[in-house]
Amino acid sequence: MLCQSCGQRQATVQLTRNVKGQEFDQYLCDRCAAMTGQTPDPGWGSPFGSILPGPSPFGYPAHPGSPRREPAGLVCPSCGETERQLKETGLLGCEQCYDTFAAVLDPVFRRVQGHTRHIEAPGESHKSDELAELRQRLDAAIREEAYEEAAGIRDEIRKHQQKGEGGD
Amino acid sequence: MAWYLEEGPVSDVVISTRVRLARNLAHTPFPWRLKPDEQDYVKDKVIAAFRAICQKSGEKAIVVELADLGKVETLALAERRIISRSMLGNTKGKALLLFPGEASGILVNEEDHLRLYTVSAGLLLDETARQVSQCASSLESSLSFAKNDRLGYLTACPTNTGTGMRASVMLHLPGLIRSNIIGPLAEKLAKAGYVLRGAEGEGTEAKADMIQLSNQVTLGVTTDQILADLDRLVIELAQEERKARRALHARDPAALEDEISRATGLLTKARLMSSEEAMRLLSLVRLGRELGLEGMPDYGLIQLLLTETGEGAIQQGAGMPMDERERDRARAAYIRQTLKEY
Repeated sequence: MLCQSCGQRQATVQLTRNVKGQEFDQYLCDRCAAMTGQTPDPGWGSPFGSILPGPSPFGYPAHPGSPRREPAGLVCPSCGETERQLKETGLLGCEQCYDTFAAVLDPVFRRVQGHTRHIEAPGESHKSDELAELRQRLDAAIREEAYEEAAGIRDEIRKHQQKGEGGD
Repeated sequence: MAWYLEEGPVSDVVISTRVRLARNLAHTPFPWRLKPDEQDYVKDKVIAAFRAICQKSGEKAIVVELADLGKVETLALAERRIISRSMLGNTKGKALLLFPGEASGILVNEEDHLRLYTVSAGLLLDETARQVSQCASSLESSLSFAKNDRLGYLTACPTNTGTGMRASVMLHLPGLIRSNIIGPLAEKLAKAGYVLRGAEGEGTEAKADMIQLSNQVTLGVTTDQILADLDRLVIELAQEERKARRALHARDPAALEDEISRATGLLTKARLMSSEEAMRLLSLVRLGRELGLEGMPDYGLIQLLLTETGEGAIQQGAGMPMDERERDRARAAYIRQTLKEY
């Protein structure tokens, strides 16, 4: 659904608006929703929606029209994403965010995915881990200008890749 | 031949199968947090890896900077579902890497650094997934992807974390839609971890009775499990749809056959036709073919018209921008011409 205000971006937030004593739902994009200064309704759009239990637990203004409070909460040391940004956009900033916001993410995973851990298909993990290790060794060998060793590792990587392609 | 003209398995109900994998480069912020020069860095790295695998397989690598394309060309890409409509106004820093035939490709710097996709005609989940996974593995031999043991592949949105895989099938469900079964069904499917949406992605309406069904869960299940569950579900849905069509036909055969024949009449004779009308009529003709009625056009012709009569495709075909009335006229002419010899 497109934003009902600008009609340009995808609607990600649901707001209950009150006009002349009548309540109605409005679906807006993040930007237009921010312009209203109103608390988004939980449970719609961003996967973080329904963990907002009522007004203003995470820095949203408690009453429509009141000024926004400064963001509180965790900040990712790697990319600088704040907990508030995460909840507003529903997007993580980098892989480190997964550790930084683990406590926030767990309930989201439980609700949206029904699981909190990945299950690898048999054989998948083994293959890619070994390849990753070989690539690291190759990088190190090149850095140290040990070209003969690097050539050997490259051959090993090729063998692995051919094995991967033949299998499946 | 373009993939969408082929008649795949279960093609009476399933138009196409699409599997996409979300991947991100390790140690690199996700696209929405990148500055333009960092986006270029990601793009260059992915393009180099893509060219390398194309060189190895002897395929031609097609690299498209989306920002360099005109409005019409971008729109035509969205109509062929190669990019999403939400990308139309926001192509800066994004690239599209295509294998010949457009059935497989990689979108760079969308929500994730890489969105790999493969699409096939009909219901073909395993094979489609195998192809896209193979492409991802080939890239992974030169690119390091963000992942860990606990959560699998790490994506910008936690709804994709784990396998990063979204498997979708495009269904033609005129029977279930006309019998008003689709609403309650969508609720039931949502509870079971599936998403039903309109043909053009999130938040869109069902055009031409086409509905997209995909898995919601990407974490805590293996890709094989996701594919097997979806396959079973689609087979069941297809049976329900066939039942609903037969019931619809049996209720008043003359009325339904009349409606379908009138649709073919309009398609072969009309001089002005909007995209909405074309979609509606083509869906009826498709239903006529699926019911085995006589005198219906070939499968490939219907598919061609369903895919290539959008606003973007019509203007692209004409080689110039057109206003709505000019488009409606060109569309009607194109449809008449295509159906002339059927």
